[in-house]
Amino acid sequence: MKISRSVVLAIWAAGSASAQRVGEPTADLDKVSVDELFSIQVTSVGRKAQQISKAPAAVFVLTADDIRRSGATSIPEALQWVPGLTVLRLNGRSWAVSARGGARVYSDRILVMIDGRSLYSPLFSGVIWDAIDVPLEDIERIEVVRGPGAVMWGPNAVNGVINIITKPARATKGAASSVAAGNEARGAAEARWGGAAGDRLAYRVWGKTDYLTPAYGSPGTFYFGNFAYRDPSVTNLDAATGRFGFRFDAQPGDRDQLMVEGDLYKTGRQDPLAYPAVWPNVVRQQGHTDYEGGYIQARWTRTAAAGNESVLQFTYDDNHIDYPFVGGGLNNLTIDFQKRRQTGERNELYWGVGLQQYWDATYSNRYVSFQPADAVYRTGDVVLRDEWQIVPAKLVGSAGVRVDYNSYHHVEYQPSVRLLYTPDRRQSAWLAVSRAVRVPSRVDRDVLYDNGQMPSPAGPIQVFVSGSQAAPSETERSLEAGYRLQSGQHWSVDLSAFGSYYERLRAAEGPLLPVLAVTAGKRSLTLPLSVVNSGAGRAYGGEVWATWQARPGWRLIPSYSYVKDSEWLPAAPGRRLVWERTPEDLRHQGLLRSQHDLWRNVQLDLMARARSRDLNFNLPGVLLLDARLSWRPSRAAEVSVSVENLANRSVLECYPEIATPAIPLRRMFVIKWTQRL
Amino acid sequence: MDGCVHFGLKRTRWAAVLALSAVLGGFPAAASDGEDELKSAIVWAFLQYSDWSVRPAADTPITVGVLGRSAFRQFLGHYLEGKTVNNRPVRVVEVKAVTDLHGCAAVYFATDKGTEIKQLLPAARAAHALTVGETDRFVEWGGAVNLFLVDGHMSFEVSLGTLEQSGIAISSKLLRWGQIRDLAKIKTMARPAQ
Repeated sequence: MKISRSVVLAIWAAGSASAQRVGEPTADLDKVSVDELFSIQVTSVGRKAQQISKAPAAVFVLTADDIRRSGATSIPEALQWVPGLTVLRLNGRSWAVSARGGARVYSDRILVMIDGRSLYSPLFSGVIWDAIDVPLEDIERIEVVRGPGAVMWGPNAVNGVINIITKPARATKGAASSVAAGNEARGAAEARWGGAAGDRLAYRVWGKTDYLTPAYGSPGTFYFGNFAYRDPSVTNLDAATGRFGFRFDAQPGDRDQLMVEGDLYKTGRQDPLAYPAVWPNVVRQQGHTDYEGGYIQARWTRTAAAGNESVLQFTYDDNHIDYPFVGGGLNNLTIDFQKRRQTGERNELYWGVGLQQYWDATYSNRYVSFQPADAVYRTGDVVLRDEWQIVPAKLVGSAGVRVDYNSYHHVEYQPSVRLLYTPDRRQSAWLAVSRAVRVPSRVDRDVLYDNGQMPSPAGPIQVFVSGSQAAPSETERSLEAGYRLQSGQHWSVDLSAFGSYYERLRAAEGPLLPVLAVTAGKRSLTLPLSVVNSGAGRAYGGEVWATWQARPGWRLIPSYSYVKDSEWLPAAPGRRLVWERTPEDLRHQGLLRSQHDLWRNVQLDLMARARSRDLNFNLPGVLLLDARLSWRPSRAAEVSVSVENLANRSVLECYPEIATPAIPLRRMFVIKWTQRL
Repeated sequence: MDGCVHFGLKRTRWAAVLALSAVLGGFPAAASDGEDELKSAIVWAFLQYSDWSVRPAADTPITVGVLGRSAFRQFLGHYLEGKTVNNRPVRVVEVKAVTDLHGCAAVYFATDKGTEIKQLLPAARAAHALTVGETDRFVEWGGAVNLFLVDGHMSFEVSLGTLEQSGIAISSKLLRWGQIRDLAKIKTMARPAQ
């Protein structure tokens, strides 16, 4: 119980209206409401400190060419080819994307961004993959960092960061369009027009639409924690999306660059649902999900001199979601300022401040609700990082910390220390120690969830889960190391290893025995569970990938990753303490890409991916083969045929978490024609 | 019951605090006025949001007994001075023996000495006093409310069974911020809105 008040976050106090609550509780506690009483920060172990470095980290860059050659029709499909990432297809629209363990459909430990705009939802901790899209042709690269990236990118970058970077408008001049059709992606079309007004202003506008009928007539599997329900044939999983957007890049002065971009979209999809009723029966319904919204983002960059750069960024997005269970309007506003400055021959200082306001108004459709229905969430952050050439051109050290203060009255500190050693031009080795957090979301705090009826020896038990206002952040401490070797132009190898320790992982707690509840005059056995962060975990493993230019025009990219992920709950005599969600447990994953230019205008890509048995869900290990053949009849046109799962293996890649089905993978093909004018 | 979890959290925080204090060249103070102030405010919240089934005469003051740290007793006395609940003034008294418990509406156990706590708890319950503690096994020993620190914030755990025995009901406005240790006591749970 003894605590210490050591350091007040003075650096933060400057930037926040409610900063007076940080640090020691001062005078007027009488005026503090009960709601705030349990949020007052008693101790804060963050300190104005140094900062972190560029990236002596486990990074992989997926280039525009890699994306095009993969035949992907969506961002998660392209991410399947990133070494060390786990990308699992649930049902053709939803995906589980994670790194270094913890793969779930709503993976909450990975931060995803487009041009520095976070797509991570404070509503439920995760990314709605089927509401995220940009024209794949306009992506310049996707940078994937495995491991914590909190100092650079902020909270929730616990196990990795995926940063999707789009091309500047001056790189997409002229008209381009593409049409695609296949057995799952029934139809897709994209069109873009780019232009420039002089040297200093360029723009593009684009639109795209697609219609998916994932796995029509396939069996679907619903999963309810301790039993699975199999529907022999799911007939309506259709999803349709329309989206248009723009990007402007201007250069108002020699030292200034301004970028403004935005989009508007609407997605609708059919959701076959199953809800556990009196076991083993389920209630079957055909639900519907709608997403619509848009965003606008502006970024101003001033380069005063080499090594002296300031960036000011503003983003606003407005999304409306309407799931069969719950819906609402979600808004997110961020303002960020970052400054990088060369402070000496051997030293570079980086600092930044940011503010975020998220607000939503939710409503319940069935089974799930948020209480309170409306909420506002604010955060402020300060980042400070220093990079120092300890031995010029040989050893670079960097240290940094990011401190966030959010309106749950939590101060989060996320430090990192990194070292990069480059003995010669061919080799480099790095070492990093970091701490990162996943901050509680509205689901952790405010959700009321009716899980339906679970079978038990005593008969069906109705399970309810409620959030906890006391939910703290999940934390991770991680140690990483890596080594890279580049041998001329022919081959390179990248190795990394990590060990992470997690604390305060989300679990659920309730009475040992179900209680007799009276609901609307009916008596039933009920198990009320509430969120409690008593879990802990450990993960270790490594990734290795290589590129090998076998001969001119033929490149091979093999990779392998291993993760041993274990999580545990403390003994809870007299209480029921359970995991509320179970991640997939895939120990071994391997990828092999072959990029072959057969002739000047014909390219053949062969891809294989293998993974071991899913130990948590007992899904079998698989080997899947994909292929793509493309032909460029002219410089401005390309026709391609992509086939995924060549052997037509029926594979369930992961299990669902909510009452939507998992659909086994089958052979899919897409024929695509791209034309530039 | 949840001791190992709290221990783990505290250990982490201590490691961080020690590392930091090493950087700063000093050791942290053992306890703080800030913490005592916050605990006092929480005791005040419990007085406001609790309902005693056994009510003393209308014009008598509400008595809060404090066992243990005299610094906290003085702080609490100072904090509650001049405050009233339902037009009844609040006063703070020192508790040393069972006889001191008479007339107490609440008793704060500002100590982690198990023998002292276990000795007084049954009598405090029998006297229909709200028992508040700040040590890991307080609820297990039969205390009603235990304050603890998690993630730098005060939180509490509560035993509804003990409260029921003492004839005390705490408003859900306050209970929602704590962790209920004996959820089986909840007889009904409302179904979420459809």
